[in-house]
Amino acid sequence: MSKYLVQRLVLAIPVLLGVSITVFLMMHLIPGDPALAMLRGQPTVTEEDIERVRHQMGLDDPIPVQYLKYMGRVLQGDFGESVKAHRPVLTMIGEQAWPTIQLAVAAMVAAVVIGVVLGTISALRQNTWVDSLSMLVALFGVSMPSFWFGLILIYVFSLRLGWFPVTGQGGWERLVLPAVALGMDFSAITARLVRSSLLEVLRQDYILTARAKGLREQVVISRHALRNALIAVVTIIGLQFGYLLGGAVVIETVFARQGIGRLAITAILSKDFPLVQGIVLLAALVYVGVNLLVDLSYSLLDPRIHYQ
Amino acid sequence: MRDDVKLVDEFVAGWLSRREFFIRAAALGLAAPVVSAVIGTGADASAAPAQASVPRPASFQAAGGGVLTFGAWQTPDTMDPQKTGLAATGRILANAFDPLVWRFPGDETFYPGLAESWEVSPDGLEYTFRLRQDVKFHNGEPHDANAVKYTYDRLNDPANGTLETVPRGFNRVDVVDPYTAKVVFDTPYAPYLILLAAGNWRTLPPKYAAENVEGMSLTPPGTGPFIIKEYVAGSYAVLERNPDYNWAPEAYFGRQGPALLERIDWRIIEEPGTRASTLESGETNLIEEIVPAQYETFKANPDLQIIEQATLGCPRKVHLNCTKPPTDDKLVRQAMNYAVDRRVITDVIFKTTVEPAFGPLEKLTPGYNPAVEAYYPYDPEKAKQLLDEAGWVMDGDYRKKDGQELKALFIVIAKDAFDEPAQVIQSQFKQVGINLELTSEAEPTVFNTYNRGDQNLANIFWWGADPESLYSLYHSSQIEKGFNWAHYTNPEVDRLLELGYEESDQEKRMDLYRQAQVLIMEDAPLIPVWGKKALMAGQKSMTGLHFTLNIYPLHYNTMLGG
Repeated sequence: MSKYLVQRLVLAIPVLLGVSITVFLMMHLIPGDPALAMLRGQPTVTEEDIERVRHQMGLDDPIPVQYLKYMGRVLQGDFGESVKAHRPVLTMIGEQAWPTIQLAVAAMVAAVVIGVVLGTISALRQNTWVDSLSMLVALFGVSMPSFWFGLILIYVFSLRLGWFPVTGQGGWERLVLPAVALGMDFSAITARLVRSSLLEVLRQDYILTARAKGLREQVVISRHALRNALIAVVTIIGLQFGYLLGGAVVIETVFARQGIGRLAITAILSKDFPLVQGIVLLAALVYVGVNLLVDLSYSLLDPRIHYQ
Repeated sequence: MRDDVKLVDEFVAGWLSRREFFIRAAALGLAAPVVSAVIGTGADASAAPAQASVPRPASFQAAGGGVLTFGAWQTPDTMDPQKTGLAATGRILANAFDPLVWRFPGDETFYPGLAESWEVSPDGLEYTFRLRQDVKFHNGEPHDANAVKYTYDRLNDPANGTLETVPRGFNRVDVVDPYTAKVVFDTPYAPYLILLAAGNWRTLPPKYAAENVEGMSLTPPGTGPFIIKEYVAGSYAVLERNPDYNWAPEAYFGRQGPALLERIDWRIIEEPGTRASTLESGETNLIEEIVPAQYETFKANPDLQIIEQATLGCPRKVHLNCTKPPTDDKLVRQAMNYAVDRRVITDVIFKTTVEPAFGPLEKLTPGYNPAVEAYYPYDPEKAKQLLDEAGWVMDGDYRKKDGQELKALFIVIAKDAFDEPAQVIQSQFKQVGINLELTSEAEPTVFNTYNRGDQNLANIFWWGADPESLYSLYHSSQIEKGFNWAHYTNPEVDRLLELGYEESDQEKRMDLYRQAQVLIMEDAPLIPVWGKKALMAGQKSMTGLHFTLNIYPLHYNTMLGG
C-alpha cells in the first residue's frame, strides 16, 4: 500500500512539470502585448509607459529565463504576485478556494443523490415508462448547457416562485440553485451509470444466491447489488471532479459567486500570467490528489482489491 | 464528445465490461490533469479559506437616504488608484476619492474640490493649488500639500509598480506651504485640469500608502463622501457614508455635508441576465450596463426607471488604414463613409439605445466641433461615384481596377460588441461594390496586428474627458507603437494636436482641436459609427444620481424614495 502510494506520488511530478511547462508556453507564446491593453484609455501614453508596464510584468526576459525564474520561486513556495491585483497569488487563490470547494462538494452531493436514485429506480423498473422517463431526464441533463439551465433555475425558482435568492453566496439557501445547476450534468451521467451497473450486477450469481437465501428484496438491492454497482460511480467521481471545477467557471459567473473559476477567467482574459500559472498548477495538484484518493477508496469498497 | 461521457456511453451500451471501464478510467485520470489545465480550473484545498459572509441585500426597507444595493458589471482588479485603469475600479473610487478640481459632463465650469482655488502660470508650466485646510482622509491623515507631493513621487518611482501614466512633461511638486502645492512641468500640459477633474492622479494618504501595500489594494482611504469599508475580491464592496465629509462642490450639488445614502452595497454580478434578475427580484435597486434586449422590458416596468447618459471621449468607430491598399486612397475611404447607414446599426442592432456618431469625438467632449456632422451622410450613390472616380469599376458583384478586386480586410476585436455592426457594414459595402472580408482576433494580440497594419479596418473606442485623446489616436508619432491604428499622418493635424498640449487659454485650445477634427474628417481615416452611452436601470423612486466626466456614477446626492 505505502509502496503504491510513493509510486503514485513520484508519478505526479512529471505530470505537474508537464502542466507547468504547457501553461507557461501557452500563455507566453500567444503573441500580443498586454502592456498596450492595460494602458488603453490612460492619458497621453508614451513609449516609456509601455516599456515600464512591460518590465513590471516581467516580459522583457527571454521565455526560458522567465520560466526558470518562475519555477525556482515556486519550488520555494512562492507563486509570485498578480500583475493586476498586486497581491500574492497564493493569498488570492486562498480567498477564492473555499466558496468553490463549497460549490463543488454541494454539486457533487446533489448529483450523486439524484443520480443514484434515478439510476436505481430505472434499473429496478427496467423497460417500463418509469425507466424511460428517468433516462429521458438524464439525457436532458447531459445535453443541456449549464449556463442556460442556471438562468432557467433563476427564472423559475427565484423570479417566479421566490424560493431562493438570485445570486448565490452566503447562506445554504444561496447554494441550492448553483449546486443543482452545476451537478446536473454529473447527476445524469451517474444515473445512466448506476442503471447499467446495477443491471449487470443483478444478473450475477451471488444475487441469485442472496434471493435464494430468502433475503428481503430491499436488503438484496441495498447491501448486495448497489454496493457493488457503486464502484463505477466512485471511479467517475474522480474524473468528474475536474469537470465540476471547470464547470464552476460558468456557474460562478451566472450566480455571481466568487470563486476559483471566476478568478481564473479574469486572470486569463487580463493575461495575469502569475495568477493563471498558480491556479492551473494547484488545480492539477488537486486533480491528481482526488484521483489518488479515488483509487485508494476501491479497496475500502471492495476488499478483494489490494495495492502492492 | 468528452472522454468521460464517451466512456460512460460505451459502458452503458455494453461495449465495455466493468473491468475494462476501470482500466480506461484510470488512463483518463492520468491524462486528465493536462486536459483540466487547458479547460478547467481547480481549488487549492490547503490554502487558508478566507470566506466572508455576504451582507443581506438591503433592498426594499431602505427609506430616505437608506442603503443602496448596486449590481456592478465587472470585477475590479485592484482598488489602488495608481495601479488600475479599469472602469470597474474607477466607478468605486469616484465615490471614495475627490479630485482637486471638479468638472461635470456638459458643463464647462471648473468647481473647487480639494483645492479651493488654483492658478496657472502664463507659460503654462506651473499649477498652484491652494488646498482646503479641513480635509481629512478616511484614516484621519490630513489632505495637504505633502500628500499631493507624495502622490506624484509614488507614481514616479518604478519600484511601486504603478500603471497610471505620469502627466506628460511633469517635473515635480513643490510644497510652497503646508496647504499650497505647486505642480511644475517641463513642457506645458494644458489638458491637466480637465484630466484631474476626470479622476486622474487622485491624492493618496502618504503614511497609509507607504506602510500598507495590501490595504491600498483592498480598502484605500480616500477623501470622498464614501469610505471603502470592505472589499471581498470578486464578490462585493461595502461603501459607508463618510460622516465628516464637508467639502462637496456646493455650487454644483446645491448642498453641503455628508452623502444622503447611509451605505452602498456594491455587488459584482457579471452576467447581464442575472444582474437584471436581481433588480426584478429586489435584491438590487440599481444595476449598470443593461443590454439592449432588456431595455424595453425595463422601460415597460412601472416600478423601474432607465438612466441614460451619453459619454465623453471617442465614439465607437472604425479606423481605416491609410497605408494599406485599397484604403490608402482617400477617395475609397470617403466612399466607405458614404456607404455606411449608421441608423441600421443604432436602431436595429442596438434597438435605439444608442445614437449615430459623427466625427472622431463624442458630442459631449469639450472642444467637439459640430461641423463634423456635415461629413459623410448615408449616400450610396455618392459612394459609387467616388469609387468610379478612383478608378474602381463594377465587374460582377464587386468593383475592379487593373484586374484587382476592390477588397478590404476588417479585423474585428473579439468580444467587443462589434461583430454584428461589422456584418452590417459588410453588407452595406457590398451594395456599393466593396468586398469586405471579416476576421476576428482577441485582445491583446489584435493590438500588435493593428500596429503592424495587417488590417484595412480596425474597430476602436477610447475614453477620455479631454480632446487630447485625439493625440493618442491620430498623431503620427503614435503609429506602429501606440494606438494610431489608422496609420494616419497629416503634418497639419500633428501640429494642431501638439499645440493642444501647450495652449493654456482653454477656449483657444479647444479651437485647435475643432480645426483638427475637420481636417481629420476630410482625410477620412475613420468611420464614426455610434456614440457610447451609460445605460443603467433602477428603482423608480431613486433620485439624485450624478456622473463624473468619465461617466462614473456619483452617489453623493443619490436617494431612495420611501
